[in-house]
Amino acid sequence: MSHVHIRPWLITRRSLLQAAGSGTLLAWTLPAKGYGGAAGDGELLRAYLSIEPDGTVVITTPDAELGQGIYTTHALLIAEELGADWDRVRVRFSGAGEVFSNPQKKLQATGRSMGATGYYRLLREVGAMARGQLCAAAAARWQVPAGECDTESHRVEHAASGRRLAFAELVADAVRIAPPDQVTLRDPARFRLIGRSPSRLEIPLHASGRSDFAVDVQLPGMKLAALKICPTFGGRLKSMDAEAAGQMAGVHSVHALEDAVAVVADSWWEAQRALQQVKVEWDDGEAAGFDSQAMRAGLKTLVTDRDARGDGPPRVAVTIGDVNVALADSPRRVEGVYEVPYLAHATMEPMSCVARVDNGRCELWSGTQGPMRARDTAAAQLGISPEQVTVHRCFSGGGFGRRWQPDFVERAVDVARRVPGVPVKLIFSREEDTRHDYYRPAYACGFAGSVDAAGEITALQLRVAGASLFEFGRPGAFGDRPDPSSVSGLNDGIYRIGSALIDWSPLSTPVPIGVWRAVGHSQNGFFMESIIDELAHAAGKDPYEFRRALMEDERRRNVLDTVAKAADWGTPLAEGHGRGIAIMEGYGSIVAQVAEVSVRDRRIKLERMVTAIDCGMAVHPDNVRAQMEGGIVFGLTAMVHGAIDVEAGRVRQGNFSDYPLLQLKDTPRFETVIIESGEQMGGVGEPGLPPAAPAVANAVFAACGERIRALPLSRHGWRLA
Amino acid sequence: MQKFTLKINGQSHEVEADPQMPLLWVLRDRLGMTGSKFGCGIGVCGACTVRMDGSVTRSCVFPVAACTDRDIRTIEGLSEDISHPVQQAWIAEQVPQCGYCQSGMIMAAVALLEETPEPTDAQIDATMTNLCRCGTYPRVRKAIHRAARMMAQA
Repeated sequence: MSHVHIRPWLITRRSLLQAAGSGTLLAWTLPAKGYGGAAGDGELLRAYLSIEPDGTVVITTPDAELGQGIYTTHALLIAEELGADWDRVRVRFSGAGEVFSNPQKKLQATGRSMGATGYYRLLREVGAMARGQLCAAAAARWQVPAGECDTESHRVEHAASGRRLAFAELVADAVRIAPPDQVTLRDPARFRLIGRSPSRLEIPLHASGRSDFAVDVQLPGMKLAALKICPTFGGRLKSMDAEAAGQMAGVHSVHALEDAVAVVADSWWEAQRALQQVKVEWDDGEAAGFDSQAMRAGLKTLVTDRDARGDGPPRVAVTIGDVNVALADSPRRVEGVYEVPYLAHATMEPMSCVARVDNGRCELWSGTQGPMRARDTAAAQLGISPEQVTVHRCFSGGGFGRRWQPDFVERAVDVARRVPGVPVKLIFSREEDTRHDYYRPAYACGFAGSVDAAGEITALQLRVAGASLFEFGRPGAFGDRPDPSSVSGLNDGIYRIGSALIDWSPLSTPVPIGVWRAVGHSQNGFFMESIIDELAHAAGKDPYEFRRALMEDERRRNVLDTVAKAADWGTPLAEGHGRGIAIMEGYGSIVAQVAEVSVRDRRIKLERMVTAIDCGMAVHPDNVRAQMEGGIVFGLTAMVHGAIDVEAGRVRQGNFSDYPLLQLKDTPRFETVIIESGEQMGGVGEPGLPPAAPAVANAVFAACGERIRALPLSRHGWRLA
Repeated sequence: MQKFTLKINGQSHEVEADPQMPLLWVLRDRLGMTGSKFGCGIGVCGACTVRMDGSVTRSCVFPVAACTDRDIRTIEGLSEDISHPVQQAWIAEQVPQCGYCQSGMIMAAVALLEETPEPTDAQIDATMTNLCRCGTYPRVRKAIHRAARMMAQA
């Protein structure tokens, strides 16, 4: 594997590919004996790191770069141990392969906020191994023990004699030396990159428009494809008349797929234009009878009528004591129903993939979150072995879980196999992207709770109802236990509760559903932290003090205290302003937020969002802040605008005109406090989202006394100011 | 199909296209200039933002036939080496996350700063209508203020 340093800030996939095979470059290729065992001789080190003859360090990230900054984080971990100069580090994307598996997942898959936590030790060890080789090479030249040498600033140094050699001078020797059997990781007190937020390496690419997304891939002879999928979920193509479309300018061919029509053309616009001229008859199938409004009424019934049944009996997540007795005894009792709709991912880059199928081989270019899954899907589809599929990864224009699904890769392969040898770039139109997503499922939550005069929660009964994410396509996988995602965030035991019954009533539907940023926490955070606020109010307590008094865990309480202090909790506010607080634990991190809003005539202005996060340690603190900001905007977009409706089995929304996003003008001021507790490192891509909506809803209540129990706000008489 | 001569980033380009073909797809699929992105196809999201005779233009809904004899500027022409003050401010404030909307966001910011060298928050709010799903908005705001200071000192 060879790499070339083109311009200091411009290493793109394309340039690396062009450089490959030039035969003039040196790569890091010798065995890493005894490393880890699993990866075998040297494979691991080779896979993740090479050093060019000029000393440029090229690090391979196994994860998708979706905006979460893992491109930089992974490079930083290796560079820290290696002793590399940050401005001489480049990054490339790996292909698909077991060697790139996340050690915590045993799978190469980007998600669950595990990119930093999962690869943390592995990548540091890779860097330390290479450091060992470089030190050994220098030690041999100087005739000193390797243990007396160390690396810094892209050099090996021998402190006792003051001698130094640049990496570039040592690479040729170092690659002939076996990596050390054991490595010593650097003392965190001496970190120069970890925890220091060096400038992110992907940013110059994005700021110059030169980062390659799948939509930007260009190959000789490539054609563009547009797709019209049967609008009804699960429907089929009955017939098509493509005569007129096939004769349009720029059109190469029109294809009838099982449930879709595809046009292949010289440009995407010509393909899309011709697609509208194809006369199509669909066989709508069973989902044509599905209506999300009726289904959501059903969810409300499931959480209010204890005898109502969805797919089966409710599955219990938490039982403490007897809630019925406690509720019956309590004079301070509240109850109600919360609900949230289906949501689309709406990544800015619509689903896209380039595929070339020829002679039993397949090549893919994609921003997939699951390279191995994409590879294996294509292989199964084509009846070839996974080794015959090559995955080239690109930057992803947003993922949020959407690009974990292999459907868009499968569809690109489905088109490409019909034009053998021709690279086909499939781009979903925004409408197809919106209407053929794997949605965050709609959920409802019914609750009854009681408190006593001292501020103790004496009873909490919660029932959530909705479709199972992880039983979608494999019904009954969890037996009589709840799908963990259906109750995540409801069963964490953050608060001391006298009696509780928390369960989930499953209701499967024909709507494709899938992981969406923060998954079950995305709705359960809103339910749980709004309900806790209702209980605080019922107890006549300050919402922060109420929570604090019910928390037994020091670490959680510290996060809550930190956010309250940073947000000036308790200080006077102007008329019409209010503060709300919320806390949620997930992905190994604890996040608390305080929202400040002003409300007038049911118009809400988001003034300020203060976040405290304890993620154990922050590899790149500025990126942690960026992820908190992004998670909040994502959560508040859903809170204010997000709703997907299904009518007669078809999604009604199609574009940003009817599935709007929060805009710059709507965005509050952000402040983030990072707590370095030294506990085990947690993820940061997702946990910033769940507290945002309840913090704002609780702030609205504080400002005007109205409780928000149904989202999005725009559907319930609220607007942003 | 017709022939059009387009002036893009100061250079003349001959293209053959349907007169209705939007500029975005001429740039991307005819000329291989992929810095301007496709996001919505209806002129809402701004990922395709370019400048035409200085004005902010959503190229995904702007037909090529209306582009002749115009001065078209795309992200590719902003600088050879990411040295434009707006790009420098973008790096300093570490704005992008996934990066997909950022070409359009930067082109819109460049236009704003040429019209209004020291924009207020309210002016930024009113002008920057580009959509970003990752939530880079607070950093976009900071970067515009920073670029304004850099340009004032230059």
